[in-house]
Amino acid sequence: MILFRPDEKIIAVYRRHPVTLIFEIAPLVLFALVIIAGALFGGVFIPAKFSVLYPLILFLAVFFLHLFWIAAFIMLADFFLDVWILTNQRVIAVEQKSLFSRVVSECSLSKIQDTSIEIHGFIPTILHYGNLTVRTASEHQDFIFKNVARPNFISEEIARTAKEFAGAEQLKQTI
Amino acid sequence: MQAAALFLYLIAVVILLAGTATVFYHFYKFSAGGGHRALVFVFVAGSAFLFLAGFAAFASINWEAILDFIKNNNDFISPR
Repeated sequence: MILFRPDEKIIAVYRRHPVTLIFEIAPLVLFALVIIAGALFGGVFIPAKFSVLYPLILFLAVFFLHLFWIAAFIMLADFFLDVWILTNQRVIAVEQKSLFSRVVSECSLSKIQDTSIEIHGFIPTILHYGNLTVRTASEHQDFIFKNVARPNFISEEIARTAKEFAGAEQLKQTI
Repeated sequence: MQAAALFLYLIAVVILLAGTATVFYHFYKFSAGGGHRALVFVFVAGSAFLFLAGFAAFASINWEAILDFIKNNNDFISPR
């Protein structure tokens, strides 16, 4: 759970590009389809001599399908819980490393120095997704928005919000 | 044989329940930037269906017949 400040406004919430999730889940779906096909065709083509084993095969098929179901949702959890939030005051990065392993970091917009975009490969180039690195004045870490859609647009949005934040801070000091 | 199978089945159920609970906990506890209630509902419904299907498949296994099949098709064991 992320606690926002009373005067904080969420500008945007970014996640990885959905195609990265499809690439992760596709092998699992393929294996699941092979298991379903095997279990269904097994009932038709299994020799009469081995028919006594069919319920056992069916049970094992359901067991493995259940494991795949859970694995697929672990991948979905990883996808949905990896999130980068841009507010009018800071950038919050929530990274689900694995189950029960989570890193939440934040950085004030005043500490952002510059950004860089990395797009490698044919599919990321066609679908416009890649890594956006936000360099900060903090020596601890940079923020990496991994495989986000339209990183150049996000970079501009961060720059614009940081500028507005700096302007608001200056106004506060003047008053 | 049946008792051993039931024991293995219970272990499998515990593993699957632990996996289901872990995924549910992560979605429920750590959701950020929008709810995932529909996704959680699909997950729980799918899990419940697979638990029922698994139970039905397990209940339909005839362990005596499988034991006979193994005995009758193994040269090292004399057939009944």
